[in-house]
Amino acid sequence: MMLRLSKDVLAQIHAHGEDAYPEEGAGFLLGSDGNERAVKTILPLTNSREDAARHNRYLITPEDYLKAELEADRLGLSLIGVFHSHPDHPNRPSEFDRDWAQPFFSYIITSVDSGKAIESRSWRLIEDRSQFEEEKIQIN
Amino acid sequence: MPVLKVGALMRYYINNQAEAAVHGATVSDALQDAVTQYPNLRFHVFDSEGKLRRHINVFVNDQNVRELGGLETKLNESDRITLLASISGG
Repeated sequence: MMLRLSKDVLAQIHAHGEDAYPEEGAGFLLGSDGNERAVKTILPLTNSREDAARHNRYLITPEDYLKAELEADRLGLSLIGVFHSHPDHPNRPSEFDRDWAQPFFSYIITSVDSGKAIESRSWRLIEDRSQFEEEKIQIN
Repeated sequence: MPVLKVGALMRYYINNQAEAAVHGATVSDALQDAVTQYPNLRFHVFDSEGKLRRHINVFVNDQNVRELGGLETKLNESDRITLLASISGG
């Protein structure tokens, strides 16, 4: 499994994580999913969790999700995943991430330490939902 | 007849289609028809008691059925039903 994205897209993901710090920032990955999976653009979104939980939880409302699907259709792209940040925590999925994740989506997690985005890794939940597998990110 | 549209997440379960025609006078009827046509979809939409999974959101023509009549919302022939999973994590 591999996920391709440009330096610009990665920079936008990191900037959104830094802007949201010390809360989690999140959004959608829009792109194509054929022989290879590639992110073409992102859709940064507001973290809709309640104030007290936004430092370690994120929520995208169904209404924002629907708008993102329509935007992807308009652009001739697909929603292929979600990105979010882990403020002052490693960029590995948490148990909460696994509980809520869906097979198929790519989940990019960015570690943001003291307000600075450090590194992003991408993960996919396997079909039986038992664990994530890391997918290599290729920057072009 | 009404059309069921699913996000990219669930296309795999309806033969890699973005949408499918469904029969039903209500949202509930249409969803039952959908999982009958596409049995792999059932596990992802309904729990073991046959209730809609809590992370599944249903829209009719871009309006959440929670703001309408829930699963008993009546459908017209030209209605579009959209199924989307909640997106959350930590």
